[in-house]
Amino acid sequence: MTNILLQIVADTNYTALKPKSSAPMQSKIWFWTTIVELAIIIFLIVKHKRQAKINYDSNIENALKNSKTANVDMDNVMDSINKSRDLYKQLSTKCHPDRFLDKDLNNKANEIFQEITKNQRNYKRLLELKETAQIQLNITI
Amino acid sequence: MWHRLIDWFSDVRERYNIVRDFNRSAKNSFISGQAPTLLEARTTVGDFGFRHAFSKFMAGGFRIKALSGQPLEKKELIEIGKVVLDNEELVRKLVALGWDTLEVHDVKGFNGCKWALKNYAKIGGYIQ
Repeated sequence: MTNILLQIVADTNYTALKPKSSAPMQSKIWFWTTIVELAIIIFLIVKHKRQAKINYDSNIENALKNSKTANVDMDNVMDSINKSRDLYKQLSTKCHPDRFLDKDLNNKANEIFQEITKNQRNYKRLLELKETAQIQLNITI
Repeated sequence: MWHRLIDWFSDVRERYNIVRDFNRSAKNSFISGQAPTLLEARTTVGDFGFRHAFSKFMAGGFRIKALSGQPLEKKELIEIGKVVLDNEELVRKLVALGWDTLEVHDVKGFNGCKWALKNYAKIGGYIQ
């Protein structure tokens, strides 16, 4: 009996003293994890400093801040996508300055035509210009 | 700290609103028969070459995609893009809210056009 007990004790001692083979591997993993974390922190600091370096003009900053809350008429955008091309063609032919021989009318037509060309993809503005052209140039569109 | 958090949340809300408004208008004009093709806007990764200081990480693309109806020609895709780019107010808003790329795609395939929004935001200076 005593022999058996001694043998067990001897076995446990042996296992307890046995060196762990996975310890260096674990330390390696922790080492690389720390390196990666450090690299990420350095990258974020550099990125933050680079962004802080960009000094914008106050006008640009104000313009961007105001434009964040600006109301954009999406219905007008969709109308411009679908209808502005035809209306522009119609207006540009009807309001062309070469159609008006009278000097006053020619000047007015020139102004309107320039506005039409400038706003050729803005349906709402083109409709306004259509009304202006009908009144000022005495034409029916 | 708090104002940054509030700004961040308001930006997220504005981004959501702009996409929702576009989709609603597109749907209405398709249903009413004004538009031959149903368009849909969504946020994508965007082009990394078009990034600027206000770009959102991995969400810088504003894609307009034709969903159904008549397929679009290249000329029509360019026309849709130009309508958006000519709307100065809209482009400024897109840039300020973190979008950097405008993409217009057809119904099928991966063919489409894309533009760098920073080149069209006339805000009185150059955006890096």
